Amino acid sequence: MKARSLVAFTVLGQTAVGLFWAQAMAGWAVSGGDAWLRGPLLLAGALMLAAGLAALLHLGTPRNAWRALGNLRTSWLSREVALGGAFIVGWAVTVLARGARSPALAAGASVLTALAGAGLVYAMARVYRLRTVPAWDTRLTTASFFLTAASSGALAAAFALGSATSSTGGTQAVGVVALAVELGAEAAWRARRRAAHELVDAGLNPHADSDRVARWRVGLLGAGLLSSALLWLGAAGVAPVSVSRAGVTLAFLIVIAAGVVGRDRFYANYARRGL
Amino acid sequence: MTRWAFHFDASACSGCKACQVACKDRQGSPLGVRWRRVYEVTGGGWTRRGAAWEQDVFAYHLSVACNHCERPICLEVCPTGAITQRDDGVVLLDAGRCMGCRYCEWACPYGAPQYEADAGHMTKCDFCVDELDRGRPPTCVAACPLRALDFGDAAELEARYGPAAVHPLPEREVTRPALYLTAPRGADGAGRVANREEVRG
Repeated sequence: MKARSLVAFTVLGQTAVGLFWAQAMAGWAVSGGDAWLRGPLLLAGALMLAAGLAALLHLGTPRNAWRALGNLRTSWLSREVALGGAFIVGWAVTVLARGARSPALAAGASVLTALAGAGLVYAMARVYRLRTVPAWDTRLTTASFFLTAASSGALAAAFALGSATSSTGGTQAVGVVALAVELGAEAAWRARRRAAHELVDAGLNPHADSDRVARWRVGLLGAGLLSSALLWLGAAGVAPVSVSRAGVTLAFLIVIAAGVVGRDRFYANYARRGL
Repeated sequence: MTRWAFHFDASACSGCKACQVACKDRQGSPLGVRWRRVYEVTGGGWTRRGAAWEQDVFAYHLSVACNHCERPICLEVCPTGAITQRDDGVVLLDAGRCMGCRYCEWACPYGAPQYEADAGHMTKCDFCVDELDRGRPPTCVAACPLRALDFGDAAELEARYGPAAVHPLPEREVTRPALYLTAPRGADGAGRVANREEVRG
């Protein structure tokens, strides 16, 4: 399955949601919040818009994309589009409210947007929980999408700010935990793929899984975990660690690369029951 | 009301592909798009028993199009509402509403929705509804020289043939297809599709 645009859509979209969560977590703790308006908040919107554009590239007839809200009753793809729209609207209201120095409206919009983002990540996962595709129809899919949001969002926040600060210590801690769980979940994914492979005709997916890709994924997750932990130690004041802007950027790119490799493998393991 | 269904006798099919060709000819579908496809499933082998060799080699064919399921997963997942189902069970796709996301293609366990790349949208078997509405058989059924492919009311076909399973079609409960089968030898799951790449084109 060729799914580059979908890899971009899901990874960028989840990073945008995670980044919004990060700014919502830390935004209330920052007096004035100006840094959060200029950096992470704007980056979250830009990432979500880029994700939307990537999703459009996947379509054979983009001019019919507006029809995607036409089956909210049963289609998780329809719901995903609706929640993506709600996220963008909520994000815009948050930006405007912050710009207008209206903290109450900003806080309210921020909470609703964070919830819409959670709904969006859940809907993204449910799109793939097809009863005909055993490799995808697992809670691991849902967990993995939320973990990507948490880990890449935390690193994106540090990237947008240029460093991890004491106000982002909580966010970075969430990122470290998410990366550690992702690393631990690799074994579960491997077992799931093997079990799923038994349920489909072997000829359906001759390219399923590869040790080389698995090693890349684990290596990138490990490097991301290490750099994320250093950021957290410095931000929380646990250890006298100072990471340069270049270091923060590198850590962010490593975690995004881990997400891209993992998601690419996710699509490569597509194989449905039947023919 | 009649609910249309196909019957396919896999023990009678010779794999001539007349059904596939007749369908393509009628629809004028482009290269690579096949509303009906014929799969060849093969299996078995030779084993030595003492001084003798025994074989249980087998092959059978599966002619598969849209099965106009009772629980059509394509309709369930389609975000635009381009896929609908008539009261007689026929599942139709309105290409003008399709945005070409190919989600139905991922989901369908029969590979029924087919992507037309040049047009940027999905297409699928419509059970030749115009023929049905005139009281005539679907083109694929009319073309089968061995009468391996038939159609009729789902309840009647189920009463006559029962819910036979043929590997590698999925369990009936997944989508409840309007497809009833006569199973051939070896249909219990030992075989594998030998012409998958050929079917993919």
